[in-house]
Amino acid sequence: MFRFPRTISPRRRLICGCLGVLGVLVAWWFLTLPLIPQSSERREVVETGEVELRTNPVTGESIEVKKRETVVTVVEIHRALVRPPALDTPGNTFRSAMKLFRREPGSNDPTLWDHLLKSTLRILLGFALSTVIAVPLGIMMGLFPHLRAAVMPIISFLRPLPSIAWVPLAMIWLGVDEVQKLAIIFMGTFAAALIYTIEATIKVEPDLIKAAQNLGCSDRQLLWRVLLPAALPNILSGLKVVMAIGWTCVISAEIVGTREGLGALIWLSQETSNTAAVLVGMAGISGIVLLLDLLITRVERWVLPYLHLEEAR
Amino acid sequence: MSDIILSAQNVTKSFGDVVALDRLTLDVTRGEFIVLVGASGCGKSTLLNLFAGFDAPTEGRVELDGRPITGVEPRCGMVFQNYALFDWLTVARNIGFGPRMRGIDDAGRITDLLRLIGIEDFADHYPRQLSGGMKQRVALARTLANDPDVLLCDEPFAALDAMTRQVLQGELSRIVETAGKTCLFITHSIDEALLLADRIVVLSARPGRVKTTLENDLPRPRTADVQLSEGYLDRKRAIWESVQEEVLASMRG
Repeated sequence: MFRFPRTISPRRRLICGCLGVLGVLVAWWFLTLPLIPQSSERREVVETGEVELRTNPVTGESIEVKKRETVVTVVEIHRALVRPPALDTPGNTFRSAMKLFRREPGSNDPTLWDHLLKSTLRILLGFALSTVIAVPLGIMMGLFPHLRAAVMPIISFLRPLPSIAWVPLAMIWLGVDEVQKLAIIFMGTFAAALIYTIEATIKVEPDLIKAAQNLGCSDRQLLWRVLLPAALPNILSGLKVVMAIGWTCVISAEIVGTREGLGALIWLSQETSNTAAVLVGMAGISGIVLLLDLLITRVERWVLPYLHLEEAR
Repeated sequence: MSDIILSAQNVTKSFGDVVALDRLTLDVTRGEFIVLVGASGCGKSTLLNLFAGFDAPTEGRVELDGRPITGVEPRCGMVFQNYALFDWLTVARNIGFGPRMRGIDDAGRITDLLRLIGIEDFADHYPRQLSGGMKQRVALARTLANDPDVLLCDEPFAALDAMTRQVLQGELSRIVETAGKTCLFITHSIDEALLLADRIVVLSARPGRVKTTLENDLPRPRTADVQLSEGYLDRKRAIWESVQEEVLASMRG
C-alpha cells in the first residue's frame, strides 16, 4: 500500500496545489453564504387613519388625535454562518482590498503601496544591520572556540526570545520612533544570523584548510580565499531564513508609533474591525517574503554559479 | 647533500592518553616510493600530518633534508582521500591555486599539468561536474603545480572504483617516476602497495611502530603478468600475514 518515497509529476503537483487553494476559497464562500433561515419580528407603529377626540385633562380642551396601532410582521431572513465584520464574502473582501491600493480623494491615509514600501525598508535596514555584525562575528566565533564559548551563553539566552518580547524594552529605551523599530527587527534576527554563520563556518571541510595551507596559503589568504568562499553557500542559505524571520518581526516592530507599514495596517484595521484590511496586511507579509526569497535565490545563483551546474558530458 | 630526504627519528605522538605513534623511526631516500600499510588507526595519517607539518611530534624529530620540520611544509605536497578541491574554483584555477597564492600566474604551466593528467578539455569545469577519478587527477595536478619535493598521499584512491583506481595507480607511478619525486603513500590495499612501492612499510597496530619493511623490486611497469607472477604472490602472502596479525591485534583492542 505504501510506496516510499513517492513522487508526482509537476503537472499533478500544480493541479493539487490549485485544488487546495480553491478548497479554502470555496469554504470561505460557503461560510459567508446567507443560508441559515431565521425569522425575525418587525414591529411598526402605523396610523389607522381614524381620528379620536380626547380631552386635555388640564385645560379641558378637546383635541383631535390620530389613532395609531402597532403592527407586528414576521420577516423571514437568511443569515450566513460567519457575518461581517468577522468575515465578509470573498467578493466583498476582494473589493475592499482593492480599495486599499488607491488613495481615497481628500484622505491622507497611506495606501497599501506605502505600507509595503515602509515595511520593506524597515526590514531590509534591520536585516542589513544584523547581518553586517553577525556574519563577521559568526565567522570569528566559528574559527575561535574560546570566543565561541564566551559569546554562546548570551546568544543561547537571546535566541528563544520572540521579537515581541523586545517591544516593551525598546519603547522604554528608545521611544516609539524608527530607531525602536529597527532595534526590534535587529534583536529578532541577530541571534539566528549569528548561529547560522557559526554553523556554516564550523562545517567547512577541515581538509580544505589543510590543503590550502599545504599549498602555501597565508592566514589572510586562507580567510578570504578559502574559508569565506567555502562557508558562503551555507551562510547565504542561513540568511535566507533570517530574512523570513525579519518579516515575522514586522508585527512587533509596527505595534506602536506608526501609521505606515503592513504591521501598522494590521493593528489599526483590527481596531476598526476591518477584516479585509487585516487579511490584506497578512497576505502582504507572506507575498513579499516569497518574492524576496526568489530574489535571494537569483542572487545566489549569480554569486555561486558552481552550485547550479549540470553534470559534465 | 645526504640521500635521506625525509626522516622520522624516534617519533612519539600522543593525543591525550592515546598514543598514536610510539618511537617510530623511518628514513625515506630521495626519489623513493614508500607505501605504508597497516590496520585502521595505526597512526599512518598521523605520521603524514607530522611530515606535512600540520602537527608536531610529542617526542622525537621529523626532518626534511636534515632540517627539522617546524611549520606547515609546502615542500611536502599532500594529496587527500576526499580530494579537498575548492568547489568554487574551476579546474584550471584549482590547479593554479598554489602558485597564485605566491603571486605567480603561469597559464602555460597549468596547461602542461592539465595535459600531464589528461583533462585539458575540463579546464573550465567545476569540481562538482567531475567524476571521482577526474577529481583526484585535478588534486594531484594542484599539488604538483607547487613543485613539491615529496608527495604525501593519504589513501588517495580509496574512494574510487576498482577500474578507475587501477588507471590512476598507473598514472601516479608514471608521473612520480618522470618527475623524480619522492612519494610517501598510505593505503589499506596490499595490491596497491605492491603495484606502486619501491619499499613497503608495515606499521603495527596502535601505537604505531614500524613492524616490517619489505623491499619491492618487482620489475616496472607492473603489468598484469607481473601481478600474476610467483614473486608478486609470495610478497603478497608475506605482507598479508604481517598485516593480519596487526589487524587482529587492533580488533582485540
